[in-house]
Formats: sequence, structure tokens, C-alpha cells
Amino acid sequence: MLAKRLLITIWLSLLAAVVVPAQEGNGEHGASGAGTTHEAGEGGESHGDESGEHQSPGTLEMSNADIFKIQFTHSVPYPIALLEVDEDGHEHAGLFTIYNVQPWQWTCLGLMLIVFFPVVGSFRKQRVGKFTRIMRGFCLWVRDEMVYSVMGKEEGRAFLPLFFFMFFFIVFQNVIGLIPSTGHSYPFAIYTATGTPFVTAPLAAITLLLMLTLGMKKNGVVGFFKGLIPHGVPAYLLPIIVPIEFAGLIIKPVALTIRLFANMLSGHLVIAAAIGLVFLFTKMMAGSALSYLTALPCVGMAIFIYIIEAFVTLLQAYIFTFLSINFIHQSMHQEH
Amino acid sequence: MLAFFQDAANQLATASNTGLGIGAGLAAGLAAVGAGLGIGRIGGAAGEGIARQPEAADAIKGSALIFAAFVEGVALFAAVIGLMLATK
Repeated sequence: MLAKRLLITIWLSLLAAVVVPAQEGNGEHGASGAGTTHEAGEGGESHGDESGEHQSPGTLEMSNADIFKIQFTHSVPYPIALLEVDEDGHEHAGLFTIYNVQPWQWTCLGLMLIVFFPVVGSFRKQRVGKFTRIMRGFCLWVRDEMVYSVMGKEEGRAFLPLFFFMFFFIVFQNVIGLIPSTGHSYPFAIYTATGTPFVTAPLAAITLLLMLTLGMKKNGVVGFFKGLIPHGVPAYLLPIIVPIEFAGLIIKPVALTIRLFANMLSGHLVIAAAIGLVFLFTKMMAGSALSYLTALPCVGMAIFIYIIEAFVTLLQAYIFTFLSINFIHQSMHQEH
Repeated sequence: MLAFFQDAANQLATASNTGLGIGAGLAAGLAAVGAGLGIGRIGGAAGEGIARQPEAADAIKGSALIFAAFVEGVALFAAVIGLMLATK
């Protein structure tokens, strides 16, 4: 009970630390969408009659490039609180800059606290609510189908917390990104944190570190690198096999990184492109009545991709976790 | 509408990085062809396997998804490279 309160307090203070400067800084820095349009308008010097400071120009006044820029800035991370000041008093981006990625990661951690504390408690109290029962089912599925089926019961037990966290953290981030939203500040501009390599690379780095450390602990440092090379390989093939196996050690986590981030990013880009077609057609037909009709197939396509994405979010979390389990298991038991 | 296309054509003629766009499109398209062939073979084999041994359907489905993910990963490398080219 104390741990629960402590964790929730820490989470709330983290969130407040981000949201408050972000809301204050919002007026100065502007948010991505309006900011880009404004700069583009100024660069062209053709829209001299811009009265409102943060008023976006209409679709018909914007160039095609501006339309797609606005569409795609919502799929790319941007800083919300710079937090670093140089000698002249100007804020600049640096090591501690907070991008719109971090608040959503912390939101996911908080949601995981809220969702999974009742699951832990239900084992003690022997009373289970409906929602908790569903989450228990998910946990059991991860345990039996993913961890135990590869690693076995004795060995897999030690890894359960890590893979529970890995799977549900990715699932929560992916699914939160699916909620349609508009806005420029924290609670309204929902962002898929896993859509950037900066989030997926650390997750894959955990896998790489565990592969190396546990593999070396189990087989010895020399034995681990010896075990990378398959038994019974003819001597004249070794110059080819050795570099390939060593590169494979690094390529595995890099592939994990890129697979997850590219899947999430590309899904959102395709939806953005389908929605962007509406604005493009509006511009092509100069806002005529027919252009309203073209919105129907465009939105239909976006919804179709959205439904596929809903499947892909869960699938990619499954694949990321399952491949991590396999890689760690393989490096510990190198029977070739 | 004609004016729109003429506009686009003029932009294309004056743009210096048209080759990058073509390259990015080719990267994404050829990767889709390769991944399509690969995933098609995986799906076909998995379907055949399930038809021959319906009791092994769960194991086959799981591993087919993993194999498809490997193929898809390579295709997405190409898509990322295409994005990097296109936004250069």
C-alpha cells in the first residue's frame, strides 16, 4: 500500500514537472503545426496580411508542401520544454530537453501502475473484478505462451518481470498513439512514443546487454564468443562465418529497434497521407462542391489503415518481446 | 484542375532533387515487391502446414507471424531509407 502511494506520487510529480513548463512555454515556442505554417508564411513573404499571430492560413492559400508539412509534423517528435539556458538567456535544445515523447512514456507508466496494481492485489485478496480478470488473462498469456514456452519454467521465472514490463510498456505506448486527437499541448496532442528510434533503441539495448552479460555469465567470456560460431564448420569458411556471426550480434537489436519504430511511424504516416489527400483534393478543385465528395474515399482509406494499425500495435509488441526472449535464450544456450 | 497539374509540373521541372524522390519511391516499391513475395511464400506454406496438420495450427501460426516479421523488418529498412531520401 505504501509502495503504491509512493510510486503514484513520484509519477504525478514527474508528470507535473513536464506539463507545467510545457504549458508555460507553449505561448513562446508555439507548437509544431501552427509554428511551421507561420514560418512558411513568413518565408514566402507573399502573405503580408497575416493578422492573427497563430492563425493558420486556410487550405486554399497554402502550398502543397505546407499541407504535407503540417500533416507530418504530428508524426515527428518536437521539443516542448527546452529547459537549458545559455549565457545570453536564450533557451536551447540540449541533453535535458523534453520532447513530446517523454510525457507519453510517463503517462504509460502511470497507466500501468493503475491497471496492474489491482492485478497484484487480486492474488493476495482472492477477489477479482472484471477488468482485473482480463488483465490477469493477458499476464498469464505472456507468461505461458511467450516466456515459459521458450525458456522453460525454472529459467523463465526470473525473467518474467522484465518481459511483462517490456510487453505491456510497448502495448500501452502503441495503443495510446491510436487515440485520435488534435491540439498542441500535452494532454491533447497524443503521440506514439514508440514511433521514434529514441524510445525503441533503449528497449533493444536492454536486450543486447542481457544477451551479452547473461551469455558470458553462463558460458564464460571466451566460451560465449566461441559458441557464436557453429560447430563443424570447415576451416576455409571461418573467415566468412566469424564476421557474419559477430555482426549478427549487433544487427539483432538494431533490427528490433527499426522494426518497431518503422512499423509505428509508417502506420501513422500512411494515415496522415490519406487524411492529407482530403486537403490536397480541396486545393486541386479550388474548394468546389465536388471536393467534399472526394473526402469520402480518403477518410474510408484512413479508417481501413487505422483498423490494420490496431492489429499491428499488438502484433509488434508481441514480436518485439518474443524475439527478445528468443535472443536472450539463444545466447544463454548456444547449442548449434 | 489543369492549372494544378501545370503548377506541379513546373515545380518538378525547377526542383533540383527530383532524383531523390524517384529513388525513394523505387526503394519503397521494390522493397514492397520483395516483402510481398517473401510473406506470400510464408503464408502459403503456413496454410499448407495447417491443412495437413490441423492440430499443430497454433504453433504454425505463431512461428509464421515471427517469420513474417523478419521479412517485414527488412522491407521496413528500405522504407526508412526511402523516407530519409524523400525528406532530405
